[in-house]
Amino acid sequence: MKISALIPCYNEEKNVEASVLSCLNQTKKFNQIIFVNDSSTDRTPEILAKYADQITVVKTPKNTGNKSSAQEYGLQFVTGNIMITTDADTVLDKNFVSEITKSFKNRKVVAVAGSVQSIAYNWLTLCRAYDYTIGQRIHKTAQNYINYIFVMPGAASAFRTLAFKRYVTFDHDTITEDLDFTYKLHDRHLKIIYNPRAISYTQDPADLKNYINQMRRWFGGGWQNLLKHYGVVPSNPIQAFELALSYSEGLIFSVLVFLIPILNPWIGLWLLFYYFLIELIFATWAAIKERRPKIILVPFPYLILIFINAYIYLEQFVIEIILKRKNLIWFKPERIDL
Amino acid sequence: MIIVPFIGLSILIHILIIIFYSTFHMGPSNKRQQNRYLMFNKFFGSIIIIFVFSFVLISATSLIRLSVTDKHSTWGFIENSKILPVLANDLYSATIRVDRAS
Repeated sequence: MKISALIPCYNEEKNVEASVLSCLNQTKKFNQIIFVNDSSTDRTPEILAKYADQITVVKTPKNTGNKSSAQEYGLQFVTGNIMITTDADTVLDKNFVSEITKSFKNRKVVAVAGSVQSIAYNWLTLCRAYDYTIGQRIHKTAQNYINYIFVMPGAASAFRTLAFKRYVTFDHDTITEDLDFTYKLHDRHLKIIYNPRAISYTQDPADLKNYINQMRRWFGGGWQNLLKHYGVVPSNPIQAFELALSYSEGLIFSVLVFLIPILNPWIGLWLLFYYFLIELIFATWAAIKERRPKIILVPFPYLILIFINAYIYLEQFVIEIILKRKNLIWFKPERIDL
Repeated sequence: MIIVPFIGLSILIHILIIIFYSTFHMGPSNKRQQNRYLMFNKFFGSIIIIFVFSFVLISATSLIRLSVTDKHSTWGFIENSKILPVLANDLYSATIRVDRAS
């Protein structure tokens, strides 16, 4: 089994070295590591040049403006039969390749979703760490049992290269390409599994402005993909159930978050209190599981974030589904030193 | 990636799935969907979508009804307070004044 890494990067001088080193320090070595320099204007090319004897650096003719175009450019240089896609702001755990290799020993498996963890920085990244814990230890684990992984994370995914080239391809018509890839694989009834031991550590937005922009991309991309692939949603009853539950609950309860306090402030307060208690129980569990005691404090900022998330969810629903104003502008969060 | 900004029904169902599979020591399913069942699956999938959406919608409607009919509701507060009669009286007086002036 020959393993390649495909990592697009644009102006990643703060993080790219940590990313390169994490690829080089794997217990099971990559056969090929490709960094696609998307015409960076900072010190990224110089940093990559230091490791030119150990990695392959390719440069796009001009800045493509989004991650999927840079990935598409780099794909032509991939020689491995397994391709790992990750981001330049992400550090792979030293056993990442070894775990991914184990997952592909099952010949039916076409794609593997790894586990993403948020690098600790401040209260906002703590909230994201909590989200990842719930999303992966509960949602994705259950989805793995019922054979329906909702999304392959952009920061930690692996594909059989041939299947990727044949069935996935790049359309550049949604803003969350990882979700688009996953829908396409499900459409072909190809097997995706989740490996919680293939861990990557990623950098999440550290201030509210970047957080809001990222949520706009994620929720907006979610609606774009649902609109794009709505015809295939009912073709698999489990997929129909998962998507109907996620999107109807998200939409209806986003409305309720604003409507109930207006109709009845007393019940609104009770629901908020109930929400806080439930969050506290899950946060305690997440703090123990992740061995990060501070996660227990997450329910406090979440009393505000619930309204921000609900607002963005509805806003993106209106923009993408009702007004059909497709936003394809790629958003890149401001980086902090890893 | 976050798909739902809440903790609610979805998480409860996923926890139940994990408990079910763990209790009966079942590993992740190794099955792949077969194309020959596509028409049946599409029909069954559509029924599921309608059922799930209706269930969530009915739950939400019940909560809205409770919020409106509860004694602490905003509408109840407006009705029971003296604001409405005062507002109505002011409006009535203003209308009379306008009528007389014209």
